[in-house]
Amino acid sequence: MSAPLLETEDLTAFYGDFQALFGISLTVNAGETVAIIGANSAGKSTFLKAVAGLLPSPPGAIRFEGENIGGARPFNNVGRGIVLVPEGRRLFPSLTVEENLLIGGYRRRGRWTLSRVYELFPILAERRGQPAAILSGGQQQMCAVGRALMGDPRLLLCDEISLGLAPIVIRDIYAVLPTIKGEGTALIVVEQDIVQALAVADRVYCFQEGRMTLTGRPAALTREAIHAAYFGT
Amino acid sequence: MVAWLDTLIQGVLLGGLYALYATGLSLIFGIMRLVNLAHGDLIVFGAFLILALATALGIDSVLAFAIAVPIMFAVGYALQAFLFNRTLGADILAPLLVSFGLSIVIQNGLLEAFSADTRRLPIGEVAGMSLPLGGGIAVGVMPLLSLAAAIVVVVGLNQLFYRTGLGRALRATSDDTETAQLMGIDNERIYAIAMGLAMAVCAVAAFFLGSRAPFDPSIGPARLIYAFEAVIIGGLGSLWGTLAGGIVVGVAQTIGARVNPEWQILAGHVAFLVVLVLRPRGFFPRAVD
Repeated sequence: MSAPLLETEDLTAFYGDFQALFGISLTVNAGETVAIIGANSAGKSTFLKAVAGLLPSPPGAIRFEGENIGGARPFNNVGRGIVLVPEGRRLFPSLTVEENLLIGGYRRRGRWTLSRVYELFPILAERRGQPAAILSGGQQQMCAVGRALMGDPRLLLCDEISLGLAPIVIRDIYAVLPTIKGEGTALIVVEQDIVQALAVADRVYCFQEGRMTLTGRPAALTREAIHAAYFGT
Repeated sequence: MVAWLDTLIQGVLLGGLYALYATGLSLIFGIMRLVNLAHGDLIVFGAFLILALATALGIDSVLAFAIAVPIMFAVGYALQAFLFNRTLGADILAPLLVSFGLSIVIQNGLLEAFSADTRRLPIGEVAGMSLPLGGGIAVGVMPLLSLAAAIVVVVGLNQLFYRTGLGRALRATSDDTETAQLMGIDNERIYAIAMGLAMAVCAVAAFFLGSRAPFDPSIGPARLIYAFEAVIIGGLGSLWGTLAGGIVVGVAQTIGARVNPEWQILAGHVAFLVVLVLRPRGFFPRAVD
């Protein structure tokens, strides 16, 4: 059997002296969508940052296609096809929409071109020449997802892509995830919104205070089990 | 009236030279928020480099300048890669202190190598040539060329920033270093390229500094102050603003000198302070900071 696309083993992460992750071990297979759910400060975003290379991790704790990438710099991980859609969008405000998209393909390009991203999010084509800073929240999130796609991700890390958006906008953004998955891209979707996460995920992990408390397929998880793993009650 | 017009024109031309001093400083601050206190000394270093190349190879100063530009780019790249990148982080004091130390090292190194004697880059007859504009006003060819060079440098850098992938990466890194890395950009390499570009511009400034007036190892800090004033007046992070800021300092200095020759330098500083009071963010501040 081939190695999983992503594998973490006893992954720990720290912010200074504060330990944010405690021995997280999980796998993501090629083409799979995995949701990580949990309350605020559960360590979900920290996990994505560690995988992306923004936080140092122990040697051997993160493997991508069997290769140890613990301690790799973020831009090298982008070269491997690990791309993060960061929480809060974090578009480059002085760049136009199109320039933001093009920056996504700075190191690596492939299946996703400007025209394909515009097909996915037609509103971005209409606003391509405008500064990204003046887009609405939903349009900014579309631009952030499109920017990540321009880097031809093999593993797309989505950090709270529904945060602060209206339900109708969230629906539109989640509607494109099957298309992205259809390209063979694996996704890790980090969400506080359990309903959204369960709807798209093949498997779910629940974090609580930096520890994994639950794992399974959405259909196999009971409401009570999720509640207990989420809140620790 | 003609005399004041002449003063204004000479001030604008002097401003071109100050804009050349300031452009590299503005570029570095705009991209990595680093105030390089060694900037003036690096310009003087560039002038001595051109002089040394011309003397050692027995070539024209213009040819030596052309050779110095890529050398200065390499010096800037290496300085950033091996020195400043190690100091960048949340604490802005460390790079500031390192650049201050570098300033002292360069000044003393130049003193050791070239002595305290004043030098000038030999450029032949063109040094004294001027173009009559009529009405008794004439402009020097070298001052005119230095203003033209400043405009070419600003246009060229803006083309680079707004028309190329490297320019996008420079601007993205300036906006948000962490997210730039998440897009595959090696921020330390981008910083090194930016410092290389700034030093290449310093070579241009050095050529006009050395060919228009005598220079010695001690004049760097004053060039830094003119450059700093031009950057602040123009608005941090804007290259066109820096050009305008250089011209404001230049015009203020020539007007000051016209009123009283002793007031030349003072008038430039006063103009800077006035702008700082009236428009603390300068004339053309970046929309996003």
